[in-house]
Amino acid sequence: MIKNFFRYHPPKEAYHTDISSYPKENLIIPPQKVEKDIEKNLSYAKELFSYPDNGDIIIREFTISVKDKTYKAFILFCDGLTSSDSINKSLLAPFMYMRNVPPDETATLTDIIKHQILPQNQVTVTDDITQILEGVNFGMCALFVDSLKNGFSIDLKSWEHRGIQPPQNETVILGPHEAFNEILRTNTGLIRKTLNTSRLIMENMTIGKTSKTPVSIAYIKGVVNPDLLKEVKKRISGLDAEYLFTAMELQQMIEDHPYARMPQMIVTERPDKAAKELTLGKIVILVSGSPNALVLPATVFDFTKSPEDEYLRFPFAVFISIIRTIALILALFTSAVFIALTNFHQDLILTNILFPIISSRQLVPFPSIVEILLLEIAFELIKEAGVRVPNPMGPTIGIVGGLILGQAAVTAKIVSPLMIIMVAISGLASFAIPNYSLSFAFRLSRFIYIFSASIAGIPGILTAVFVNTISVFSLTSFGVPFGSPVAPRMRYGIREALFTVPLWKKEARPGFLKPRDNIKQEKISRSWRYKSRKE
Amino acid sequence: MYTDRREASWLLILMICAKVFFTDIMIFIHTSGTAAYLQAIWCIVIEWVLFFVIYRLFKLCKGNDIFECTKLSFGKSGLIIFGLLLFTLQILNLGTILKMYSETLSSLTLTSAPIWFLTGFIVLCMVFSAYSNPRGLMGVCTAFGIFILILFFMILFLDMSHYDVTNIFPVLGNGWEDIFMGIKGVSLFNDIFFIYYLSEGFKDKASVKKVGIATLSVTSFITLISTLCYTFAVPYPLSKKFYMPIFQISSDITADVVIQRAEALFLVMWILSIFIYMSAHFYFLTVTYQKSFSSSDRKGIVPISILIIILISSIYQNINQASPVLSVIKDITTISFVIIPLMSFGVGAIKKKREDIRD
Amino acid sequence: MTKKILSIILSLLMLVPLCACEDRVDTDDYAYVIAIGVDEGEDKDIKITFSFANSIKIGGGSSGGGGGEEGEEGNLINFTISSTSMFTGLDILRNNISKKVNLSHVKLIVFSKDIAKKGLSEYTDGFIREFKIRPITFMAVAEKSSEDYLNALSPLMAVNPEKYIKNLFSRGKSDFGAKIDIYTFYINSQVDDKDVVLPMVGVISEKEDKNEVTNEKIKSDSMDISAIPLKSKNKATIIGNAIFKGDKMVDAGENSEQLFLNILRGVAGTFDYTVGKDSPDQIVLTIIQRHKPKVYADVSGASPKISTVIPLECEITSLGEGKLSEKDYKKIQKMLSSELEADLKKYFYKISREAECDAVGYGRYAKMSFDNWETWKNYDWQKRIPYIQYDVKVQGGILKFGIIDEGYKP
Repeated sequence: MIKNFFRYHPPKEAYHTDISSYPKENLIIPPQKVEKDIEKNLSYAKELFSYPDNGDIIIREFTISVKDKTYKAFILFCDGLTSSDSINKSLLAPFMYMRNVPPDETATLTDIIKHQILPQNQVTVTDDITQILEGVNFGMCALFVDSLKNGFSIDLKSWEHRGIQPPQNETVILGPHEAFNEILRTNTGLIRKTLNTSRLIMENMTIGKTSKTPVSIAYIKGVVNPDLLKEVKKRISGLDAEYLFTAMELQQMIEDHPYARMPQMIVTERPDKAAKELTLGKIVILVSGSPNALVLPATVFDFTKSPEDEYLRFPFAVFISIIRTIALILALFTSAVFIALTNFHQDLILTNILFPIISSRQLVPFPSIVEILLLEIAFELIKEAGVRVPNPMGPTIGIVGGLILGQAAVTAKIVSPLMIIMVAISGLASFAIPNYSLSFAFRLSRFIYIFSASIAGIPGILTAVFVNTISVFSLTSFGVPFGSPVAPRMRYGIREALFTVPLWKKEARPGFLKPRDNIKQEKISRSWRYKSRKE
Repeated sequence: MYTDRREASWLLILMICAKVFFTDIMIFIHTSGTAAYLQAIWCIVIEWVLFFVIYRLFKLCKGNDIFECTKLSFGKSGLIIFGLLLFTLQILNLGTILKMYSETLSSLTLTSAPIWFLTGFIVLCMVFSAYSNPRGLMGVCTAFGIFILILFFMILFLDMSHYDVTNIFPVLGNGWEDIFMGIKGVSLFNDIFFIYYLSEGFKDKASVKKVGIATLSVTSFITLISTLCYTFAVPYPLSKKFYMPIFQISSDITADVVIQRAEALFLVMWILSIFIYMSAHFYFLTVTYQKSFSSSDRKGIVPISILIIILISSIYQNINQASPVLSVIKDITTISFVIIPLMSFGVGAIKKKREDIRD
Repeated sequence: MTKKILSIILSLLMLVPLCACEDRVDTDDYAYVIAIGVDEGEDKDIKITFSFANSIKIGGGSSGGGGGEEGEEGNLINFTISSTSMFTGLDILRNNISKKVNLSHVKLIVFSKDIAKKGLSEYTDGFIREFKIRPITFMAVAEKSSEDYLNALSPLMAVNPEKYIKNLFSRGKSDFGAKIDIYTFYINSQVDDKDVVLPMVGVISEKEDKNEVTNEKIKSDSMDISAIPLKSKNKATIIGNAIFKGDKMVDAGENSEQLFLNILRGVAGTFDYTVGKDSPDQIVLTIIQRHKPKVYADVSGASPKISTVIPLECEITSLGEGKLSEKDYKKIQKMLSSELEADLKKYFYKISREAECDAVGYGRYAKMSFDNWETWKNYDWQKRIPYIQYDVKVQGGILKFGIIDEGYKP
């Protein structure tokens, strides 16, 4: 070792690599029809899927015998998206054993395969080879038989997925605890079983030119406004993006004002909420692979409602909605008003409270605006960290946040205790906001109000409020003014928007949706009250 | 653009209320003394009569708003002359009012800040609302209207313990002549004229009547009650001295419950109302430009007119310089806002009648 | 390129409001004045005493509570300056205190008697015109020196001196002192039909503590501090009231006289009154005034005639050692009416004939008889005040007897 220490070692050349630019490769393979010659179909399939480079694409060649003739055939499927068991038992086995089945003399080979051999409930016969092969990417199994001008696309989907679990972001105490998951058909099934009507239509579309992500547009026929439906379909079909995977991406691509702070669509993970919105005449969009549904159009007042409002009895619902309104105001204005009062309008503060404020700020080095920004940013950091922290370390965040930011900062006189209380109230109030997107908008707006308060006190806050309100009321959501039904005032829906209304008084659908059928329930929906027992 | 009746009512109500909250009811005090409320009633009666007369003529006219009617009555050149006059009056009014609002705001709050700093906030609101969808401004009026009126009535209610009914005596104040003739300087209800700007977006002409009645009912009540309460709260002749009557009422309130000074209620209410007033007036200025000169886009005039308004406001050194100019502008505006619709709708009605007879 | 230029311009514009706005001052960068005293100084100067709140001590920032031992900073810190005006005095003060002075929490302004006699409108005009001092700040007149009063002021049973002053001077239901704020004073001093009465404050000295009777006669414009039968650690107290005509002080009165003024105005609330003071049948009544008095003003003759009817509710608190009982309530009612009427009349004549002022505000009722302002002005109410013919009727109903009631039979 000592010898080696003094020996000269020539320098090792460090590993270096560089990437060069390449021109765009033309990977588009022109679509074609299914050929009678199976070899041509096979070579097309191999070229399309870059077989055998693509490790999860399986091609199984076999022969089938029908009417004393032998035909070559092959199936193509994706390992991981299809059920191997089903392929073995329900696809290959019937073909292997089909010599024992007396064939129908009059039927063609295609008919025999489709109607007598294949037991699957969804089998599509088509001559478009591209369509058949593209289905493989979504769990379908492609079947080609020599001498047939058609191919078969067989539904053998089976991949690992989450079951139906309770909602994570929209929890309620009373009410269903089901949430959407990533499987489109599971989600559509959840809505359909809730609504239980044949007038519920689930129109299929796809988004993403390459990803071809399945999308379902749900609406109730006879209720939804046809212009609204047309507009939604127009926007979805008018998307030229290569890949779109989730509902949130779709939301950004089709909303009216993507740069606005306020969201213009409700994103929900609750099937009951989606079903309720459908009954009002709205449209729900479900995207495969996304556990959220988009509900449109939305107004600003929709975001202030909680899913639990209709599950609670009326007096409790009124109380909770008052608390929620107070929370909305506190979340937006607490910090800003505190800055305005302590920096510009000390004459408004009660003298009794003024002295404790002053004494609590002794030896704090920063001006109150800097203090509050530090605390707000710290609070935002805790929130973000809380989302991403691994579960075993979850309690640590509480300790870090409480001890370090709270107690230690106050003891070290970096911040004053009153400022922590203000930021904590504001933060707690923002957690009481029922809609996650709205809470984001409020988080942004809060900073704007803090800055405007630090510039000019109450006039600054009022300017920001004025400008913000104008911008909110100028928005539209799929042609519906965002401030409906307050501005413009609509006959139906204004009470429900502003106040909590008992369930039996919600007779009409919101006027701003212009539904085909205005009336949701009879004026006297509790008719038992007016009928005698003898009837 | 479809305009909802209630939104239009709120917009006009708040434009008129902004004047009530500022200083416009002082003219009743200055001319009639303790009988200010009688003069207010007289002014309200005249305004109602004028509104119905003008509305009647408008109903008989063919056009949907004042610009269409003027064009039909006097042709394109008449429309341009009318537009020029209105545009000039509005821009002068806005520039002068901007100065007065900024100066007053500076004496109430942010006393050490330069005037341009406060003017900037008002101008920012004006520009933002001019560039936004007009629905935004209507929405703000509908959303804030109730809130502003609640604050207003809270101020009046909280000061009730200081009201002295004997302050309205002597009953006739400065005398019958002053009560009746003193209203020539009143320009409180001028903004009802803008109903004929918004009438194009209504469903039908009958909506104009409904909006007018709603606006005049609320503003008449507010005018009367503010005049009355101010007379109760501050005895004459001391009431002549103060500049902003509602502010004085709020000064007298013994708060000390949640906040120490109740003037904060007035401040919030007044600042919101001046933002709404200036933004709405500026919006109507751009509409005047667009309709009178047949422009495709009303937003093109925004930068230059804002510059002119700021220049006009910086001509005046203080409120005492701006105030006499403003009263002259208001007098001309009052006369114009009565004569122009009477002429346009009158001639239009006559022309329509002749056409109907010919047919 | 255009976007880059616009972004630069926008960034520069955004920097403008972030520059330190002159008005943006943190709460702890201000020194808050709680009380102001104005005395006459030498030549044409005035002596102003500013009483600052020791915010840190009051807010609990340092150890120790209110009050203070010798040499230790109390909850109030006083500065006295001589200058030509109050706001000039503040400028001088700023050279001594590190913080900016904030006048928006002033609760009390005390003027010395000499200043009050010269007139207070130049001060109140300034307070009303500017928004620095709240219009609902209390006013008082100091019997000798406001500086002495503020220096002697030592809040009892209160850590926060502001609350102490507010509670002491705010309008209460059982008044024994006048409670007037700047706004009310300004209004009443500017109008013809009403005059104002301010509380008078003073300092009890060691000599008066022992209740020595002085030989000095009580002059009409000075208060005999030894007449205050009070021993207390807080030497500063309200000793009476100062009667104003317009904005000038013309006379002084005792604390007990304020009660009569409140009764005549209809704001006495609940108070105790002793009937039969000169007889063995001394009865203490608790009287509640719920309704304002009815006033009838007749201005048809050369001298105005004012008659007033005062309804009162009474409760017998103590019957004393006399022979009267609850059954004699009609007699007690009569005694109350006659004695109270005499006291009220005597008080009214004192303020109207001696001081020539309309502290009750009967001018407002006289005004109602006139059509227009011109005729009311020509009537010249202020000159007619000493000639008012006054009649007062007290309707005291003995309604309650407490839980001892010999007259009650089930």
